[in-house]
Amino acid sequence: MTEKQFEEFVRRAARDYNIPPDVPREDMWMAVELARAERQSRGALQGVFVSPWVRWGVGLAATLVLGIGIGMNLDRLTYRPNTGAVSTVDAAVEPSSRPDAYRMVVMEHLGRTEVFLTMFRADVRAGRTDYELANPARELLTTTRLLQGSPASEDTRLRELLDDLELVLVQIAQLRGGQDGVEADLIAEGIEQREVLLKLRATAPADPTLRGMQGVI
Amino acid sequence: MEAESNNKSLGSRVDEGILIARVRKGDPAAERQLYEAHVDQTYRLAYRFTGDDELARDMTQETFIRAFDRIGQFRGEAAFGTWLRSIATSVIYNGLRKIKRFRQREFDLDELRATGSSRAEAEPDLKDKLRRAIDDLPHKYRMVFVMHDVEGYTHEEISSALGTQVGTSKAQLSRARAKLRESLSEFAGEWAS
Repeated sequence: MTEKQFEEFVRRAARDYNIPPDVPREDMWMAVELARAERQSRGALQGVFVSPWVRWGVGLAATLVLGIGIGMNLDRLTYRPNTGAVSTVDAAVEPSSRPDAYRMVVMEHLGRTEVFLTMFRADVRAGRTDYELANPARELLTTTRLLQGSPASEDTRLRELLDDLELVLVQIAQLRGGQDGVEADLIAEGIEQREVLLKLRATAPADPTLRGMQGVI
Repeated sequence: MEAESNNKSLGSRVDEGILIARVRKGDPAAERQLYEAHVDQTYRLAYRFTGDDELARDMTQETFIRAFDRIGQFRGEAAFGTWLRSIATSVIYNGLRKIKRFRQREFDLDELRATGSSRAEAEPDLKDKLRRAIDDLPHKYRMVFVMHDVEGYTHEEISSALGTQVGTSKAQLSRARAKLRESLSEFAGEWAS
């Protein structure tokens, strides 16, 4: 048996080596698209949560600004001039125009929370809660509590929504990364049962610019 | 004739360049077109190495996910297929290493269980023996052997995909064949028939 004969034999026989079946093109394409979408959303989530100290600093600053904004709104809403006359300055901050600015702050917060909870639920379903969730949840919780103590709570529907958010965010803030899979499942179940995301979507506008604010969290 | 073939090749490179530019801009239709153009070859290669549909699917998918994620790094110096193949071989190679570690553990357990029992199994026939011999080749040799002798790639294509010299590809193929010949020595009489 010469080298040439052996090569010929191997080439002939090797054609039967692991003969591929029909290529499952469609299935694989769907899997590729799904995986890329998941990675992108996960990347966005990681982008939101990258560098805890930076996040914390930015979150704290955002909370302070929001707090000041709420405080100012509270002052304005509770301020009543004794003279009975309305000055031009007062007219500029007439209570009727204040709710617009205030509403923007509330909607922005609800938008961020919706993004966070949607991604949280998706990750729980995919069995991925191995990253640090507590810090972003705490930051959102702080703002939620500020809003609970603000004029927002005068709106019954919004107050109930904020109460629901507080409960969910407290639970997530107590999760430890990678150790609480069952607990995370229960929280996600709670989100479903209380229809938190539905309520959020009904209250917060489907405004993509608000979704874009997620990076500020 | 040769000029016509060169023009066709140039034309397809230009078309592919346009397609890739669209993919870079995030055009999903272009992504799909690029996928359709290369998926068969990628899946075939993955299946030839693994002999397992699930693994071949995973490897093919991972190849395209990486390719789309890194499309910005594709400079167009080589054909897209060559670049994609280098990703595919890297995915397959790393995947096979993981699988080998896993299967080795399984094999060790099976061996332990089989100790003491009689080996009444018949000797595998030549094809089975060849399949096993190919499976047992070191990954680098197997990679070159499967690409060249099974899938019909040239040494230039193999060396581009594996990031080696053409000479290395030829040497590894030669060593792979020598190992197979050694493994199949007992069937020497059947080769010529």
